[in-house]
Amino acid sequence: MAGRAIWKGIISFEEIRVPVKLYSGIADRKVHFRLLHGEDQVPVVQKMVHPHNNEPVAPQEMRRGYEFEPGRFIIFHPAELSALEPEKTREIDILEFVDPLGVGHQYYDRLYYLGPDAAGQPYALLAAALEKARSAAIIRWNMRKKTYFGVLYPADGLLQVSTLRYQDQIVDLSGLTRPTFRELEAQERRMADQLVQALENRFEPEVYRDQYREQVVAMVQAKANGQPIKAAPKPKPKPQVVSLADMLKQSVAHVRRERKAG
Amino acid sequence: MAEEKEQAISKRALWSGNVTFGLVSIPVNLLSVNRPRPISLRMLAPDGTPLRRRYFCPREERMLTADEIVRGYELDTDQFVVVSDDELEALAPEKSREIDLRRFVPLEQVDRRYFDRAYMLTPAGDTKKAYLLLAEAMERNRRAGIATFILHGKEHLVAILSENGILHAEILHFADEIRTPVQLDLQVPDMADAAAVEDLAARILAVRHDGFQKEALKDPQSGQLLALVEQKKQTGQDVIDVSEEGFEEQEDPMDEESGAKIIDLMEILKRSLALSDRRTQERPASRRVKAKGNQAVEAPVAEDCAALSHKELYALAQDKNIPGRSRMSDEELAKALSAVTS
Repeated sequence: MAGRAIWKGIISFEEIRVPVKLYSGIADRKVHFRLLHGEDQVPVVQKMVHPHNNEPVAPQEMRRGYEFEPGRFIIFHPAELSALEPEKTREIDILEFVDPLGVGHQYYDRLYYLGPDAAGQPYALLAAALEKARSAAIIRWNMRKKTYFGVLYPADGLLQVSTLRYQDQIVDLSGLTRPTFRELEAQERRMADQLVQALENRFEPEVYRDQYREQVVAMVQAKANGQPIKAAPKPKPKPQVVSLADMLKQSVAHVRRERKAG
Repeated sequence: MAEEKEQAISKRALWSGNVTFGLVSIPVNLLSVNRPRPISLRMLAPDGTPLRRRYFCPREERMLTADEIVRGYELDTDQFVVVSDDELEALAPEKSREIDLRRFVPLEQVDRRYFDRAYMLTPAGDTKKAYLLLAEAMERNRRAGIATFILHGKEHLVAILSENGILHAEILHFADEIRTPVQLDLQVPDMADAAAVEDLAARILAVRHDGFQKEALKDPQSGQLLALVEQKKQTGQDVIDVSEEGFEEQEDPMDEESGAKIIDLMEILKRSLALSDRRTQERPASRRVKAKGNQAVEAPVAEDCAALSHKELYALAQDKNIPGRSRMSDEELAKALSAVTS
């Protein structure tokens, strides 16, 4: 699975020009299912049909429209749409330098790596300077007929980019007032704090495995071999407790016992 | 009234379940905070009618209905094993309904490279007290909760972050989904000249901001498209009206995206976070039963089903093992439920 670059570009900041190759940083490992026709188990093909007669419409006959009111559309012709495509360019513009923690987590979309596309000098310079300044750069580039934004940051001598979502694709929550609850009691707060602290740990994503994927694969193999599939037992009801403070108290005691034993 | 509002929220929810904090179960709804592009174009027939997505069997050369379609896992090329919703649910029933927070980590350790999709959790039960207690405790201690749960038939790693009294759920990639530079054959280039690095770092710091300008993250295309929309509306050019000819704005059951349409998320959020006095009285015993509803709630008869949300109907159908439930409408679910209970 050697890496293949998906795009090439040039980062520029004043007189510095850094030719780079872009690599996807994500490998999809989720379970994938295919939709089949149940009777003959043939994978289905997706078609776009006219709702009145269920007849498929050929791609070259389809039109594209914006629904500005229910049932009312504005048609866009192919030439109009292609005129709106961003300019084809290799430039990667640096818009600004920021504190990497200042970029809201909701904006993060997808990880890419950048590798040097020529002699590594300017690349190493930019990576080292960002590292030294503990900064990230907000960048913009055009790729695959779309304008992308990203946050560029160094990691172990290499440059990485997380693409950012457009502002209007994030629900703005700044208008929400903080919910308050006047009946929260000091004791409940204290117990909740204790429970959070009792469950304290480090961020170690590698300790979590997608066990469900493994279970699905095992189940499918068993089924293919003609073994019967067991239904899982129903979850047991948890003990009923009287008040929130009591439940938290019992939880803390439980966690502490577990930690001691483990 | 309040029940209707609750229903409106859980209908929009992509997932409903519990956040488990020790022995406390907190009923929540999961809502997306990522929106589709503000101006998305639809595929239309030559006469302007919006098209529907349908599935076609290439062997029989005909369109299929929803109940003729099954999910298959590809073992070898062209060899499939059919997997039912029941079988998938049975594999991990608890994780399908619970986000069990057993690990709280310092906020700054949560690596943003892992972020995949952003959601938020809104309180769903009779009382919002436990929700708020957890949100506050996480914020006070500057901790994020880490867990895994199952959404749409897939297991996800999730970070629960608390901001301004609201719980956010960031779905993360699993560690083995993040490629490493070694896998990509990326070599770290030789060190740059120290003086040049020093100089560039100083220049970066001189222009650096603390907060980033999110206003700059604008899709130039959607702005141009909107301008064109206005222009055409004014002149009446390229405007097609199909609202007369039996046009129905209904959710297409075979189109997954249409169900996720969120019209006014802010309104929903304001409502679900509002703490009305009567409904926030502590009722721990009944809440526990409600939250774990699957074994405690008796399946109601048809009339009562009309008052239930899709999620509730589906949970009951799960309990009663009603076949084909994942493809049923609310009415069909209610009918099937009353058939097994009466």
